[in-house]
Amino acid sequence: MKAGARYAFLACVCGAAGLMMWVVARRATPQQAPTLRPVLDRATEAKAAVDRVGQELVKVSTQEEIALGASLVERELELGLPEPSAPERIKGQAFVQAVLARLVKSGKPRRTDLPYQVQLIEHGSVNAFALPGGYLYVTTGMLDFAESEAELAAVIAHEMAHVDLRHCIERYQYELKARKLGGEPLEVMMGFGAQLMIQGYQDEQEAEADRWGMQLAAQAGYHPQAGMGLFARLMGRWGGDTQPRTVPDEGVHVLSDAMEALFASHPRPSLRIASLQRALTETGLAPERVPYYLGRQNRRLLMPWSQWEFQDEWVVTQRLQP
Amino acid sequence: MGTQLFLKVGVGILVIGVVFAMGLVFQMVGPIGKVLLGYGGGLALLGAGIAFERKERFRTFGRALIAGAWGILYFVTFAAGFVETSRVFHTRLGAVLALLVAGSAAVGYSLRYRHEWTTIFAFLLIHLSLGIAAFHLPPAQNLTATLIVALAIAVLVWRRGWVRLLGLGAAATWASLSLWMVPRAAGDLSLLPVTLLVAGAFQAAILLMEVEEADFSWLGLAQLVNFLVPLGLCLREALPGGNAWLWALGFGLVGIGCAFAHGRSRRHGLFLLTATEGLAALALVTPLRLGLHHELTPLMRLLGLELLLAAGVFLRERYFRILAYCGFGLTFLELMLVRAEVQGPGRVLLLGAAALLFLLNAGLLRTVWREICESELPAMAWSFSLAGTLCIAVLLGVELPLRWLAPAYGGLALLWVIVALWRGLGDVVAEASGLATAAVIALLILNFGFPAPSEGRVLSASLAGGTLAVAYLASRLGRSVRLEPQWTTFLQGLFSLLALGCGVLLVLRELPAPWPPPVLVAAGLLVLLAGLRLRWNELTVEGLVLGPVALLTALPHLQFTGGTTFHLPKRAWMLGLLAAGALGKEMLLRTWSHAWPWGEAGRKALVGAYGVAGALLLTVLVFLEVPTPFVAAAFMVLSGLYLLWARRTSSTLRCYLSMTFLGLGFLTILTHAWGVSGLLGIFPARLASVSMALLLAYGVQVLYHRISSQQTPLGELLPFGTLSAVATVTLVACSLVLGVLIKLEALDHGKNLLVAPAWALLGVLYLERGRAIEDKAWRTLGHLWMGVAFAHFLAVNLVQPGELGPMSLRLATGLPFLCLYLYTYLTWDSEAATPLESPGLRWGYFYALQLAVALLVLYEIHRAWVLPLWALQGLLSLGWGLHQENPHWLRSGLILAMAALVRGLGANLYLRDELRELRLNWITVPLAVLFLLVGYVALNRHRGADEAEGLEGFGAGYNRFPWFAAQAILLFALIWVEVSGTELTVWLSGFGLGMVALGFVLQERVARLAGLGILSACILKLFFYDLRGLSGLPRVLSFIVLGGVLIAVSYTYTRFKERLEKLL
Repeated sequence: MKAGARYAFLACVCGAAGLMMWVVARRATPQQAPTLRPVLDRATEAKAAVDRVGQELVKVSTQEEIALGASLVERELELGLPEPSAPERIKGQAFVQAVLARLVKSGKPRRTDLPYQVQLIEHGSVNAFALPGGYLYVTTGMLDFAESEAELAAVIAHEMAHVDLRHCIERYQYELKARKLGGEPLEVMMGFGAQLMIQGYQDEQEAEADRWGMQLAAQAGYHPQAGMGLFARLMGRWGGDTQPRTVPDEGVHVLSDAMEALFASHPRPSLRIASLQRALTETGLAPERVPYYLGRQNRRLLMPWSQWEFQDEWVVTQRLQP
Repeated sequence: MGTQLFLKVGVGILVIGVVFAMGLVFQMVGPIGKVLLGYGGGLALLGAGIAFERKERFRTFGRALIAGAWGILYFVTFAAGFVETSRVFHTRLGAVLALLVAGSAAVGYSLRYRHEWTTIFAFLLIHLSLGIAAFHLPPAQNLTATLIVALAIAVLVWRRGWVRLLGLGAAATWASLSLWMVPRAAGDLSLLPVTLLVAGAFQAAILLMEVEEADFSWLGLAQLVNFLVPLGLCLREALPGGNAWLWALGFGLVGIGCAFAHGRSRRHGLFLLTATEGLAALALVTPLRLGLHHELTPLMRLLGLELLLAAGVFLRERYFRILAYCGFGLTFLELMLVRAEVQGPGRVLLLGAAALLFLLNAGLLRTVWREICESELPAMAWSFSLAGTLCIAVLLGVELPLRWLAPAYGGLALLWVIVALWRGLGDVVAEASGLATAAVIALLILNFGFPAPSEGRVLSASLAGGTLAVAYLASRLGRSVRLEPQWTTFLQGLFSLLALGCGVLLVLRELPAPWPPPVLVAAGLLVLLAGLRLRWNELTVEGLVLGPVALLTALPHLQFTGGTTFHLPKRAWMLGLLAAGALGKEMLLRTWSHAWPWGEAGRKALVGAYGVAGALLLTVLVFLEVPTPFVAAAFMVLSGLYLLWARRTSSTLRCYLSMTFLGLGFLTILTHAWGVSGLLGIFPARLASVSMALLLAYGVQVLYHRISSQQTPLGELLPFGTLSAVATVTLVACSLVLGVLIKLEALDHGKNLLVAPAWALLGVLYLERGRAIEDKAWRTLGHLWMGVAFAHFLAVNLVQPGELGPMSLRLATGLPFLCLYLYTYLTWDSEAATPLESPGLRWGYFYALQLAVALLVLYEIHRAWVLPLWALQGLLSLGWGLHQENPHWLRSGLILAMAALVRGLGANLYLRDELRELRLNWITVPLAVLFLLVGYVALNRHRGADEAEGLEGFGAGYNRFPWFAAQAILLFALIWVEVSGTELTVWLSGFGLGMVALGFVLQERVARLAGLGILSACILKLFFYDLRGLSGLPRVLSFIVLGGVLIAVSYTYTRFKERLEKLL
């Protein structure tokens, strides 16, 4: 390339770059901390590719999964899982069961051969979890924290999605196969190996369950942005993300973020909200055009939507305020 | 190979089946059955062993079988009594008796061989039984059994002369007895007759046996065990009654008697061993009689040890002397660690007597006993002398008032120096040195230290310092011809240093505040002058050392907030005074260079050191007096001035100091300039401060660059390339600071996403500058900034949320960045490139661009569509690469295809996204498969070119198999995930048939083989799916049948090999 043309080209490129940077610099933009996730996520994807081949090879049947879930439930009962006994809590138990029933009936889960059931347990933490075979648990702390039936549905649908997407049983499949092949020692070794293998993309599974749970809830009529509202409140409760202000802080942030990406069981609420926001766009659920049910009054009265529908709970919203 | 493999696998499976079958049988048999099976096996083995023993060729083999058989019989008996699952004897007595009977039978059987080791093995079984019996039989029965076994061993040993049996039997017997007696409560004297009987029996056997020289070790083992264990057991039982010392005395006398008996029999080793045991027993008498803590106990021991040492000397028995030395050592440790802390008149007596004995022994070893004790002379004489000195030092320490300890040690050191000079004893010099050091330490801690300076400290320090000075002068003036020169040098150096230390201590602690540093500076000059004048080298060194000491004493008084604790108007005064002192030393060293006693290099080093000290003082001045925003700039100015000075005087030191100032300049940019805030005039303070420093740094860089390119004496004195290296490093540092400045400003204004394009812009500008002045350093930095910008783009911009009008912020900042990369890639001028810029570097930009595009696709496009778009990107790269015959485009296409495969397996296949009730996977994955297949077909058309095959072809991107494998794996995985049950077998079979067909159409052997493999897998799936529920006997049968079938197949193939090969 001749020198004149090259300098003209350079001037154009630098001018365009400078102009674009000037435009961006004038606008208020969110500050993004550096992260290794674009690289780590690719490595995780490669590991997941290997693991998923293995998971397919040791896949267990639905009957085996239900049996495993039942044995785990028995073990939990032996450990003394506290069930609620107060009248208000018994009403809460009926409430969560009604929400689950609607999700199973109208949410169109993929695995229709599982006997989904949900149990309210007396515990102050804001939590919920699922066991293989469709056994779901919601704490009374979570019930109290949810401000609408749609938020509770988002939580239950998330746990249901873990079962529906086989995340729960995938944690046990290697061990079950190892027990069949080589007894307890091999099972222990395989359990350790499986834990190593799954380490690093547990948060991938969480994000996937968030997404699929949102779709289940939306297909059942619940507002798809309710889960985001719940996460936003959780973020406020636990403290939001802090942005590094210096280069050393950035280094520390990169390392801690990488550690979190590798070892954390759940992604941060801010990342979950961002992921759900993108999923909302990609799935075309369009809450800004289509009305969905929110159920704040249903939650307050502990009267499920299936029993009583409040007309003003159908909302069309651009941005859900928690 | 296949037949062998089939045979091996078949046999392996058959063996597994047989093992499963045996396991089933053993589960069905009860305890009696198991014991009978065990006895049956043992007896069968015994019979076989006896039969084999009769044949000459198999005698060894037969005896091994017999030994194994007796072992099995014994342990089956054990299992019959003690193992729960096979218990037959339900009482402990019965079980133990059965064990003893089995052991006795083994012994009785062993005697027919008249073979010592066989009998030892049998007796070990008996002792094992006794060990078990100790927990289950009554005491009388147990002791009787033990006594009988011991007598049997003693008699057998005496009759047969089996010395190994004696050693191992005695050890095992005493182990059994100890195992039984130790857990019991002590004080039962009725047990001792049995102990003495057993000990007597073994001792008689030891004394009466006639053995060969080679067997003395076994006899020694027996003697060792047979004395120490009974002694321990007797003392244990007698201790509660208070008569233990009588037992120790008795054992000691018996031991000495036995030693004499061994001596008469010319068993020298046994004599020493038994005498040691006897002496050890006798050593216990005093502590047992008087108690360990009695004042006379160590004194008695010292006397006993003195007797032992004398006996060792007069009998010329070195072993006794070594024992005595060890005893003296241990007693010395006891005196130092325990006795010295106990107050009372006995302490003076004890420490004094010990000191006298130690010094007496040191004297005797050096004079009267010199010839006899020659082998251990230097070490032991020194040790005794040191021990005596330490005893005296400790005695003084614990008895004298603390404030007079320093002069006392000083006086003692003087005395020791005189003795050392008189007798020419180097070790005494070392002790005197230790005492002198202790005197100074005592002075520091006890007279001037915690909790407060004591009264009379000046007198005490003067006395101590005076005595040390006298000792120093004595060593200088009183020439000793007997003392080795190195000891004299050491003595002079140490004592002059310690005496001077006392003086410095007095100056520092007793003179008022302004005076210590000036006095020390003056003293240093005087001492240095005296040292050079008299040629007393230690004084020269100390004079040099006093300079830094003066500096160190001044530093704590400099207050960094301004002023000094001295009553001087400015701290610059004090710094100036110290700098003048440094310059004075430098001048003195230059003037008296002819009196310098060591090498010229050392003098020059010292001159340099004082030059460095001056520079250091200048540094401190800059730090303390220059305002913060200008500190970095001041260092840059100093660097330039020193560089000019260095060029003028051709001084390498100045040049190095210039470099140091340059480094300090950059350091202070970080520590001082970054931190300033507000305005400096009309400019932002940080920007102005850093820019000023950077501007000056660029100026210094230019100066270095110019000097490095000229022929100057300075350049010749320095190592080759130093100046140009400094110029380059400075450029790098400037660039780094500029980049970091951009980063920090961006962070402060919340514009982290602008850093990557800004750095890329910086990189492009550096590249252009490097191109203009043809400087590779500039271009290298440009490349580095481009690389760092790319990393920043990956880490920040890719995950940047938010939008800017119709596009995302990631795209808005990514596109300028990509444009800059594209510019660098497109305007690459291979002819103008520096040697560093290999053609590969250009392709680095190309791969980075490809990666950036792929990642932007990943983050901008719906996640399900990433897979086909990556595959498409790969296909386009491949197509352009084939068109241009460019391996980089081909290789990037291949990488993208592989990335698409991983993306498909790791993410896409498990997505549940739908498009109008249709799973997106059924669109995206086949689309990706189609693109990959097109890529494969395109490469397949190039088949035949040499580069398309093998590993080389793979590296160049021509290899078609990765493309084939990627599409096949993706399609297979799609079927596997989306279809289940028996339908899966059907789909997979169809897939396999399709592959075979494709293989025929494209004449691709790999495709045909893969298709056949998938068809075989379908068959295997059926087989294993049907058989997976089997267990128990059917499982055994399935293994046996499968193994049999494999063996049969192997046999059939071997039998009809030729016919079968025609069919394949």
